[in-house]
Amino acid sequence: MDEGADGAGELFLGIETSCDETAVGLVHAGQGVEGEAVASSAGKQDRYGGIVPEVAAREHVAVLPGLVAAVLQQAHRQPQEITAIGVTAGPGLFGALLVGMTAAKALAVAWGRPLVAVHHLEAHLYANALSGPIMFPSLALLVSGGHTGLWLWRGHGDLVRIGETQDDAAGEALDKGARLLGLGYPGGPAIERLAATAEGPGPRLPIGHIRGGSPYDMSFSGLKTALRQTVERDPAVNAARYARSLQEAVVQALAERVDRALDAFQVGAVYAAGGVAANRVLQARLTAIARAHHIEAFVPEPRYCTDNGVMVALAARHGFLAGARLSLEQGPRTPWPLGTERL
Amino acid sequence: MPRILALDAAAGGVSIALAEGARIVAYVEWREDRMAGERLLFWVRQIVGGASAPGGVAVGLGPGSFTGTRVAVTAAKALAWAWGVPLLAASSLQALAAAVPMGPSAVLSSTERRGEEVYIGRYFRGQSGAEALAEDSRWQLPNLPDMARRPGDALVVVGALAADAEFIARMGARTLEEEVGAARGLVALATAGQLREVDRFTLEPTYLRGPLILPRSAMSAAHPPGRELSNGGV
Ligand SMILES: Nc1ncnc2c1ncn2[C@@H]1O[C@H](COP(=O)(O)OP(=O)(O)OP(=O)(O)O)[C@@H](O)[C@H]1O
Ligand SMILES: [Mg+2]
Repeated sequence: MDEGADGAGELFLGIETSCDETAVGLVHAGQGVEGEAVASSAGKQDRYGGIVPEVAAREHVAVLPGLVAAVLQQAHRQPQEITAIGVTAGPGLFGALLVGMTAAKALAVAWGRPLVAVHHLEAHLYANALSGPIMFPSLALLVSGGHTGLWLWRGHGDLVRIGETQDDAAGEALDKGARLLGLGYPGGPAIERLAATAEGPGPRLPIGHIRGGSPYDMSFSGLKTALRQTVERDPAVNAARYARSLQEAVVQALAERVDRALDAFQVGAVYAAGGVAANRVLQARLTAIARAHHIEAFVPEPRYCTDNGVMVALAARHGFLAGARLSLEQGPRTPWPLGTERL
Repeated sequence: MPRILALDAAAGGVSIALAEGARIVAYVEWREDRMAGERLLFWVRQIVGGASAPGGVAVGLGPGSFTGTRVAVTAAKALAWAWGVPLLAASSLQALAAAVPMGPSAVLSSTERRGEEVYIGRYFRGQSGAEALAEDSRWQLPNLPDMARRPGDALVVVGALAADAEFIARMGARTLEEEVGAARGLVALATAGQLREVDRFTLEPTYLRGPLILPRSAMSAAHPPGRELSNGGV
């Protein structure tokens, strides 16, 4: 855990409601994670065949501020001990974000604590701060259900985007492919489990290459069609091998971009984050690539790869130290690009 | 006298009152839609200021704007818990009715009109509070709701339907010169002992509608006009 310059006396509360998870985390700058709780409407969303923003927003209201109370109790902490409250202000579902921001503002007003606006994707990256201070400059790979891209992480609050998906996110590609193979939502973990049982490699799926764009851009939208055609053409091959094909195609596309970026930029570490970073095949590939460049690759524990409140608390700490504050009159910000444009 | 902070955003705008007993000591209101997220907590802080926490928080539960109601209910739950004070609630339609100057009159309160669909409440506004004449409901216009009012009582229409001159005329109703704010009504309900204490953790808005918003054409096909609409959507 990153100790920071100004001592270990800081306690940060993080509230996350950008999508279908209501998550709360409490992080102490010296002692690490003190409490956490997640409630998900994924089960309720299932019967609508996709995320319905109104369902997500209703669930957030139903469990707040109860989750905050549970986390404080878990940690045996009093509200007066909280240094600042961080809340995801975007990007995400507007109505869902609004509920978390309203709860955070209300607590901040009642307790007289400062409020920090947190960028959801930056928060994902800060999950890596649990394993030690972030090293700068580094390469950040964010691979989630809604976003996929590469950034040069030059300092706290200083990110430069060098590449991103031109269409689907990596997690979205896995989720769509999983549905094609008859697996449930979320598809990523199901694909990983099934792929591990394959007896040999599956057929190779073509992955889109971008012409004229950045060498770090990627495209995943063709994968679903390619997978469907392969399944139709070659129905004898079992589902496990198709799962492996899909996983391999996604991992390969990401690994190539990371490898290329490490050739081009001098950085001290690779930080991966977001739900897809929980994938062990991707982790192994990133570790190998980083090692070949004489640096280390970091990935948060699986539960800090997907949406959680701890990452928001960690990002809030850096936002707070940098003087970032959320005004009570500020609403959700979505879309909200992370960092500055590519170099 | 216990101080109560009252919040309501079901009508689209926001209304906030701070009261000592029946006396309103601070009041703010916005009529523009969808401003609750940006205005509510800012003004709560302005109004409550450095003063000690109020003795209770009252909130209108809707039905009305989904987003507005959610902001008010989320804020009220979190404020009440964080201050360690009771959370009190009532229907936003009842609160609107209770904001009408004292009766005796029948009040048709309404929120969130979308095309020919609107949420309505039917109340009797006597010497204190507002008593329900029927359950709050989703109503399909141009049908006229039955008010079951006593002969001689005036009928007052407040909220979204007050702007519909034809509806007012057909109902034989009148409107108020100045629109009412639901937070004032919450204070009146508190004084009348008509708010109920609710759980600060589990409270949810009253939506009276499922989470799936169907296109308007699908709506009218699914629900023939002239009926009270059931809790549809799911
Ligand atoms: N072990 C795994 N392997 C591959 N993918 C995974 C794994 N675990 C989760 N995922 C994928 O991660 C995605 C969810 O990640 P996350 O919760 O970070 O996304 P999100 O919050 O929905 O999107 P965003 O952060 O972009 O708003 C899903 O697409 C899921 O399939
Ligand atoms: Mg996420």
